[in-house]
Amino acid sequence: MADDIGYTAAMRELEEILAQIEADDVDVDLLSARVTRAAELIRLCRERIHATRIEVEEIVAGLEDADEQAERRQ
Amino acid sequence: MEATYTVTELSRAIGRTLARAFPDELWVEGEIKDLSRSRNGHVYFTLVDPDSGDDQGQPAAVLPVTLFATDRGAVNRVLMRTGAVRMTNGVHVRIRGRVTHYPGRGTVQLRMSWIDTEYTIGRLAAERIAVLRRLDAAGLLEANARLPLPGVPLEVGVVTSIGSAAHADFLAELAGSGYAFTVTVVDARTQGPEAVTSLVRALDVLAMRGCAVAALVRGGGAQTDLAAFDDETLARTIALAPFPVLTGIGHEVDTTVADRVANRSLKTPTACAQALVAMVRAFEQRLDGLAAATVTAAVGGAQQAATGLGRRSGRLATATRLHLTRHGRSIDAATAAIGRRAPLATARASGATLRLASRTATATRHALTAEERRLDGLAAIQRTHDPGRMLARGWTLTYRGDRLVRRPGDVAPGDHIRTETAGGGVRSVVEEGDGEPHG
Repeated sequence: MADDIGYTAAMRELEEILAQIEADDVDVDLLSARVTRAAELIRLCRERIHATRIEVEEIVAGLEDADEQAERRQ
Repeated sequence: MEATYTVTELSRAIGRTLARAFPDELWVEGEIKDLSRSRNGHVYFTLVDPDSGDDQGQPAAVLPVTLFATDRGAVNRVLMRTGAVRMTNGVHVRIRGRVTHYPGRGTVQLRMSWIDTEYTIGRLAAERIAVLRRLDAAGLLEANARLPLPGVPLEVGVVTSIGSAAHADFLAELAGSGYAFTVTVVDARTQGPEAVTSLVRALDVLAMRGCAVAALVRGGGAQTDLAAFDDETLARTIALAPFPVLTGIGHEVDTTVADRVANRSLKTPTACAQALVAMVRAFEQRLDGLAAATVTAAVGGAQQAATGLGRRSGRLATATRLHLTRHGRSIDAATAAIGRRAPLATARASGATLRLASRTATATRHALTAEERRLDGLAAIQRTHDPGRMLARGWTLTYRGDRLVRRPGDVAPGDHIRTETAGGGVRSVVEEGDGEPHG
């Protein structure tokens, strides 16, 4: 869930950067820095949602183990 | 000596007595237990009153039931016709049959001939309504729905029967999306008497492991197979889960209680996975939109700044020329004066003039270099965001003089304007501007 907060924060920052760039009085020095930051955020988000192929972990034994443990304790 | 029966005689007497006491077929209701099928097509089970068990779970009364292969065809036909009821352990049924004595085992049993499927369906519906009413009273119906769905649900917990078609369908859909889903699948029984305990335990395992969203999926089945999904304990576990729960329980007609308390209920396991993929895709599309808007805005900003810098460097060049001319004149004047004066004075004055000239040149060089660097930096920004690519896609830039034309008000009829396209510039004269903003 911490990840999702990361995505939400990135999206918010991107929207802020866009609003600043779209403002009429653009400072060239800031423009470059902001565009670089926006590109970095977009790259990070994109990399993370495409990073790997699907990873699957299967938990099968849970139920039986719990039962066996319960039996052993008796 | 009192009359003494042989075993056979007593057995027959019991049989006759039973036949007299229960001459006709009768209806019995109860819960199926210990169902088994023999190789020659007979079905055996016992019927008990639900929740009548003692501390050890032994029911107070049991009724052995036999469904012979000869009667089974008719019963199966009515089961098939409704499709909603299956005879399995734990299912509450109302059946018709004849009470008989089975001498071979010395037992009294019911020879089943018919089943009332409407009874089971109605009972399930009534139970479902009662459970929903209790959940509503406890404020649990919308509890899970109130949890916000994650914007990018890549950490997915799945509760399903591992190896089932539902399991395969769900994972195939996620894998096909190409997104970096991390899936924790917890195996659970999705039907039969252990289903509720098993499903609740699986959700508890996910709660301990943590996930952004959970999916509870299984394939379709008869309504009685879905009984666990109408269970109140399972419903409470879903309602109070620390993550949003999606259901894909795969059934056509009614929604189960689990569907009702879930955050979102989808028709099938595939639809459930598609919903998750759609959420990630929506995020990616927003990202794409922001990327495009940022590039457009940056190109516009750089363009504007370039125009401003061009003007400034032009002014600087003019100022420098003036500066040099003026100093050139004073150099000339000094030289002339030197010619008229003593050689010593000449030497002193020319030394001072040379120093002055040299300082002026250095200052100018510095000023020009700084401005050059700014222009280089700007060129780098423009290269990074490449307005050429925008032009190549068919966008054009129109200038009046060195000013970008952004709105009709920027030009007047008769103005000469220059339009930059990917292939080169076009010069034209403004006929008229309609002054209306173009949508």
